[in-house]
Amino acid sequence: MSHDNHTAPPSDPALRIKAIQTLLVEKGKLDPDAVDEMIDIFQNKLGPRIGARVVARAWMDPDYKARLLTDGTAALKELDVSGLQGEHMHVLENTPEVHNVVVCTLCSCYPWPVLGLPPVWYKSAPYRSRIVMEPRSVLAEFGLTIGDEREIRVYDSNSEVRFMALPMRPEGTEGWSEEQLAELVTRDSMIGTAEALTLAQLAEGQS
Amino acid sequence: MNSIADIGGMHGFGPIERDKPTDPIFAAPWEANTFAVNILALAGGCFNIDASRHSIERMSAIDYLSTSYYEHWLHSLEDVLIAEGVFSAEEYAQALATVANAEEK
Repeated sequence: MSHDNHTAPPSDPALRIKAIQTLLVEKGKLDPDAVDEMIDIFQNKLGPRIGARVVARAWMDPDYKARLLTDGTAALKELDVSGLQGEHMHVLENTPEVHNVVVCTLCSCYPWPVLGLPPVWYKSAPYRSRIVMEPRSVLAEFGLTIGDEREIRVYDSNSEVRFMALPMRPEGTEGWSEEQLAELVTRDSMIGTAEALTLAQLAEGQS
Repeated sequence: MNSIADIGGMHGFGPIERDKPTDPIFAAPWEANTFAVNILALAGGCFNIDASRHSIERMSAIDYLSTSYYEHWLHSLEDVLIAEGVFSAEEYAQALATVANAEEK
């Protein structure tokens, strides 16, 4: 196997994947057009705006929120959100008492249908090793201070169950539309390394 | 099994390097291709997810920590596709040489 051969100089990753792709196409195991389609989906179609819409709906509709917290997978399907790496979704409600944050200590498990692909830091050794041990300090590095009175729960994802945090609805958003509310929901607020944007932060971001 | 991949709670990895909103989903085209080929080969039944995971978990600590995320995927693709007999190590070496030559021209 390749990793036993330590004497050969390592090839450029671009050449390695090209060689693999060529062989798989030759063997009839891979449709070259499917590669471009797959890249397009993950680069341009999936992403945290989908999750933001789900959160906004939950903020507007208490019945939907209850269903989302009880059976995340089914409630997401109501909004046509489902797919690879989201087969068993569990949604975690952040409250004044409890703050939830998500990690995959073993690798990079992440709820693709609601958030797309994870950022590099989520897959990195520092985040994976430290968030389970010292969540308060790690969250502080993200600019999120969680008071000692508030419990932090860290959820370790795996290849079956995927988690997503439901951030708290910001103050001063009574009467807002779903579209307006979704603007407040960031990727990090659904991982749990941030809260939803405050109105001041939103105004700052748009200026 | 004990593996460097089981990194939760381990000390010494330092601060988290956060991303910028402008960072691309894939840092280079080869990352995008590695991602897509892996998912499609998995969906096409060339190997299963556990074999892929196991391959990454068997990486030596030095290789694991000195290579990037998608290089782990590349490693496991090479490893499992050869182990599952989708292509042989010789065919792979040959294909690598061919693409490398084409690149130089």
